[in-house]
Amino acid sequence: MSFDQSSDVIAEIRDLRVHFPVRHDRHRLISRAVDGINLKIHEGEIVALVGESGCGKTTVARTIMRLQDASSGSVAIGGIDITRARGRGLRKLRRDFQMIFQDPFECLSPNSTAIDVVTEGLRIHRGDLDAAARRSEGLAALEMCGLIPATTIAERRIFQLSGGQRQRVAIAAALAIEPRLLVADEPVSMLDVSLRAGVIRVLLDLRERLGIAMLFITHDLALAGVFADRVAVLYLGRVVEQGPAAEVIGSPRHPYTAALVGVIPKADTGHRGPRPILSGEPPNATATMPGCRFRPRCPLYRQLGEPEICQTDEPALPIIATNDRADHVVACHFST
Amino acid sequence: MTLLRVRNLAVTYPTSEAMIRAVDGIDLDVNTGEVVGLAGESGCGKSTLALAVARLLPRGAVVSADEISLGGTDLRTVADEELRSLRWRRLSLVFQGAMSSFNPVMRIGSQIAEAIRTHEPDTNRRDVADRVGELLNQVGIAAARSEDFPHQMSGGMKQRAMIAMALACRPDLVIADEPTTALDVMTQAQILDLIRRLADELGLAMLIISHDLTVLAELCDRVAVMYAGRIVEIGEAEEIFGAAGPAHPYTRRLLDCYPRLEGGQGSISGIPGSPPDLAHPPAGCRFHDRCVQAIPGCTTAVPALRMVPGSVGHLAACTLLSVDTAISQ
Repeated sequence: MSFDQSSDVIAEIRDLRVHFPVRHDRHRLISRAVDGINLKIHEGEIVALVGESGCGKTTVARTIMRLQDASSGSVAIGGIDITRARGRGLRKLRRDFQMIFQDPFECLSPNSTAIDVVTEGLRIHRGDLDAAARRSEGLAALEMCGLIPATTIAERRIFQLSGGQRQRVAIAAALAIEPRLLVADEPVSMLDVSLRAGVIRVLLDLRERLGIAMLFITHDLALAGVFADRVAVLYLGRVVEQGPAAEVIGSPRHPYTAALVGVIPKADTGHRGPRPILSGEPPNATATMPGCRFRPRCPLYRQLGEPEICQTDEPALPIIATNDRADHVVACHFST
Repeated sequence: MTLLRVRNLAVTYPTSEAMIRAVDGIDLDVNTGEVVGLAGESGCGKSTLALAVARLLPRGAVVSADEISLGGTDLRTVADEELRSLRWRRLSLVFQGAMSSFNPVMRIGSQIAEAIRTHEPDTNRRDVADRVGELLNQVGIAAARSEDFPHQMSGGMKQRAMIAMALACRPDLVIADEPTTALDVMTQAQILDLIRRLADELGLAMLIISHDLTVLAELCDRVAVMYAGRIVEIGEAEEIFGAAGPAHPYTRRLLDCYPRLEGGQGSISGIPGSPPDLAHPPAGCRFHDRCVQAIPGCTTAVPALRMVPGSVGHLAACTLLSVDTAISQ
């Protein structure tokens, strides 16, 4: 299999599927958490993956991190398929992709010092460095994440730090080993809104200075719209809309994206009044049906008098031309 | 008509090192049929205030107040036995993370029925069952789902069931602490619509606690914003979130933290610094060291809540407000 080697594609996800066996009332079923996703992330690019709980966004992240095996398809980072890597080879590859998690209170050992956390990855991945060099690299990473003065904060234990500081330590730890791709799963949703900007700024700054590519997983569409370069909207394990962030969130074309954008609360009482709320919840990923997955909740489908094509043909997302990031594509038979 | 009346409420948590004053002199009214929002960052004292009203604070917390009354009953002095009968029937609570507040091995319907039977022991079996079905219908859940165990319901459905349970004994006031925080945007929108509809249809008074100003802007008639244990701004949602906007610099900055698509990356802003240590709060206005508009007087004088010029019942506690007024006069 050949992957896109062209200039600046850092990560390429190709027809990725992750299926889980589940038991329900003595039936054996298959939950298709991720069911055929294609996505490219370029150097220095921030791609947001958005959708409701259960749409498969975290499963995608875990699969990229090799915390979860893919059922089929591939994930190439720097042109190497990591879904097949094992053992020592995988360990070497891990230097290229790092993750920051949602909850900074649970993902760091409370009794470690900040410098311990940051240098741990260096000990594993940078055998060439001695203790003093690791320390200075670690301090530089803390400083880059806005933890100043780094020498003081380095000696603090995690439990002595605030949530925003903890999340910066987690970012510093991921960044210290100079990955090419950073996967961030809801990195600011546990933080107070007044502190979110600080962490977001750090991420933007890292992209600027180091050209790190990011996959940003969030349910906050407004934030995705301003922070990311591109957005991919996931519904039941499939990308239903993808394109430049401001365009997808600003003028969504898929009825599902439009519904999600329509319910973002606005700090403005002028917007009060009836909103198009989708009824029901995302159906179970174990249910398979022909046609469009979004049909049962789709306002457009009902408005158009339940067209037959929606019941028979699953709409495909047009393949995006190799390097054209400006393409705005949508998987819907009728969207404009 | 004033239903809940709180005057000069203070809550202190004594620790071995210091006295932590989580709530520091708060006045708050909730009128019949009114939805009031209480906003603020973590640690500002908003949940402590709610727990103090419901008399649910942990042992060790020291509460003082000139008045905490619910429809004429003095909640400070009411005996435990009477308090128990008051809860559910006149005041009920919906906690954050309602998903985990249900007993996992009991059917949802039985748990709601238990609340009714405990507080209205004379109700017969049939009536209890009918009422459970009715309550579930009211929040958009089919009555048949009362046979479900909590794990069979989704997060949003459990949150709705929790609201149904809070309404079981037809309370006058419902206090909801972060009712939509752990939910998805779409589910959140469903719950917000539900709360608004119930408040309108049942004439329910509600106190909604949330860190999310945008949620309160959608939902509430009136909003109070807390900072470091005090209310810094209170008024009609229409005024605070309307054309004139907030009057307190803290509320303004907090509102700016919500990204606006039109503004692009430049609109990502925060508030530098962090809320003060409540064991050693700063002198003067508690927000002064994070406030870009602070003037020398802010470090010494404690600003009182003052009427915002040209408003109806919109108050803010900011020294600049009196300076501005002086200038404009």
